[in-house]
Amino acid sequence: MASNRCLLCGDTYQANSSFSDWLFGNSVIDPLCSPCKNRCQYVKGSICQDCGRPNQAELCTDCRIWRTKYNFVLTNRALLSYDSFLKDFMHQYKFVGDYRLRSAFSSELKEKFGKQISQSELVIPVPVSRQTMRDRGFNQVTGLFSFAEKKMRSDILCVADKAQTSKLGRRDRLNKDNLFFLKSKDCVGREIALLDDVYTTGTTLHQAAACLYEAGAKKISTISLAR
Amino acid sequence: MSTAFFCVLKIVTDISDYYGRLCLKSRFDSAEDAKIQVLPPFDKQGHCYRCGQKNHADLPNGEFFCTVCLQMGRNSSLACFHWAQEPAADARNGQSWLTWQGTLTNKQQQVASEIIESIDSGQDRLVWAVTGAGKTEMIFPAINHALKQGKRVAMVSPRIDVILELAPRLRSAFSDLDLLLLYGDTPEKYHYTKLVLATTHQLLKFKEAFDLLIIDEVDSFPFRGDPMLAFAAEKAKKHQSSTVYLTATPTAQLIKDYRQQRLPASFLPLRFHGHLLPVLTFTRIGDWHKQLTKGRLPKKLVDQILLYAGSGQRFLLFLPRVKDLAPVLKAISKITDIKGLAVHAADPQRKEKVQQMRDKSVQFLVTTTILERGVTFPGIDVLILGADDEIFSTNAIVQIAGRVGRNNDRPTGLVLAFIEEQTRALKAAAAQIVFMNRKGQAQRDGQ
Repeated sequence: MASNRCLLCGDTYQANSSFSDWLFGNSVIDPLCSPCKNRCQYVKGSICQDCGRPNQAELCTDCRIWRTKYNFVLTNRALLSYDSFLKDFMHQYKFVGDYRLRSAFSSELKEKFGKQISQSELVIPVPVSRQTMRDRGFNQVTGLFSFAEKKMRSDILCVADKAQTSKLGRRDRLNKDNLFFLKSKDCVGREIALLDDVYTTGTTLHQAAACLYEAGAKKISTISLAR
Repeated sequence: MSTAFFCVLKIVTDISDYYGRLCLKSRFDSAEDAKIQVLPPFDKQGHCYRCGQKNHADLPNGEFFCTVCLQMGRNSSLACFHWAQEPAADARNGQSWLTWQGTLTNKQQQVASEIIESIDSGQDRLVWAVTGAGKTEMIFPAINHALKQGKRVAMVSPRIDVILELAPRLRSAFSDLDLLLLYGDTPEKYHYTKLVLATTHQLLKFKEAFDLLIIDEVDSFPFRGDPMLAFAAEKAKKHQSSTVYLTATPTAQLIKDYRQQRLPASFLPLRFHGHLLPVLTFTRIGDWHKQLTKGRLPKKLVDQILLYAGSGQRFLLFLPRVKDLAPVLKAISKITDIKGLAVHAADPQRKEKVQQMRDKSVQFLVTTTILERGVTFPGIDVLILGADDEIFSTNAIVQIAGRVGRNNDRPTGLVLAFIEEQTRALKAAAAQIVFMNRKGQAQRDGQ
């Protein structure tokens, strides 16, 4: 038993690692304490068949609009519901930039999506712009899905610098021009798993998918940490 | 209103924002003014330039960040600091800024003069004033003295509640002066002021900024024993400067520095009303934890509470741990029907409950060390159950005892510690109170 400090609430807590974990270097230090982790809501039960929004009996209103805007249907699945806890988590992870939080949901993501990811022909994380990489120093998506590091291809899809989407209002985000572009044609004819941190409006993932479909991708499904 | 409007208009960087202040920038940002120096994020040994600690976490591509001062904005190998040297002090015709109309007692006046001497000779000073001595007013002349010479002053405390309580008092004492209040969730945007009131954490963002640094409640959490905050306080002042430590309970290190004549000290051993401190009294009890698991309290404590139930005397009951609060409150309710509440640090109703005690709608509070300082309930007694628990440091005990006898109407009162055994911390606390009372007595006899 080791004493750790939760990276979110700052409380100390006992890590559940056994002696053998320590001996063989298997212990992965959980960056969150269990009270914090118990605050997050896992997506279960009925969901919107397109975006994966929880507590939705049928296609949600947002997705009805998406279906009219694009000539493809995106299937997104998420681990967690995007609530106030996850907002705090993403703030600390992305904007404060505590890269140690990347492993907070690693095993849960692997458990739920590991199979889907390993069966995909191509795994692409939603990219961050050069400016963001310069300031933040990491791509939050590749961090969260680092268990699939070997399978992930970060050299296909790119995004141009512009005002950060998270600083724009909802209307601006829905209307902004597609900033995604491709650096390689490796996506042609492939089944792709597209990874993101949070599905909020759906704009980011629809634009990224549109960019890949236009280039000739066969089928794209998306996975996000939260919806 | 007009100042807020002005701040919105002020978009262009003002060089004064950089005076003595470490502004976190990307390493690709270029300095906008010739006076700005670009400083590295880490020193050659890898210590964070802002907090002085060496605790890194990795980022991709061999980059890394400091985990210790993360909440002040992430300092990483991708960053740098922009900083400009504080301009030399310019005396504004020696004009006084002090608008405070009150008067100091002779003794307070003497301490004020001693602080001013320290400022003029560039020395540090310990001001050891008993709880309830009126430290704040005594510091006003010293602040004014430094401001008159065009010096920059910071008054800081580890405790945010202390800072928030000081702010209106300082603002009214220096009503013509722009004063900046800085703390974690501070609503104010930073701008240059000659007088800064802040939590000790905020000192991390300063470098060679202050001529006079006043640290209030220097012995309290989290400043005490935190190497990062000690580093911050050292770094925030100019090479030629004075630090004044204000406290009722100096740390062992400060006392040592004073005894070995490295740190001059001023004493205020008497409270503003001129009475001595209530002394610590002890009474032995058995294994009270065991009794509590059966829903019972020690006989001696029960007797004391029944006495209060009869007399209506108001009191605080301090306990070592939060988990004991509810069982103790329940056990009290079994023996008497007087009204009381339990309060702890994370209690969402903490403010309201303390207010209820102030309003006298309850007769007592059961609490932890969270109420050890900063709160004043007139005319109370204090009981400490399990005072021999390691959680009660010498300072905590002295502070807790200092809750008693705060007003003129009832300048004395009972401080009773229920213990299984004597501890070194308790003995030291009792000795400290006796030491200050001896000084106080000497002062009273002399006058």
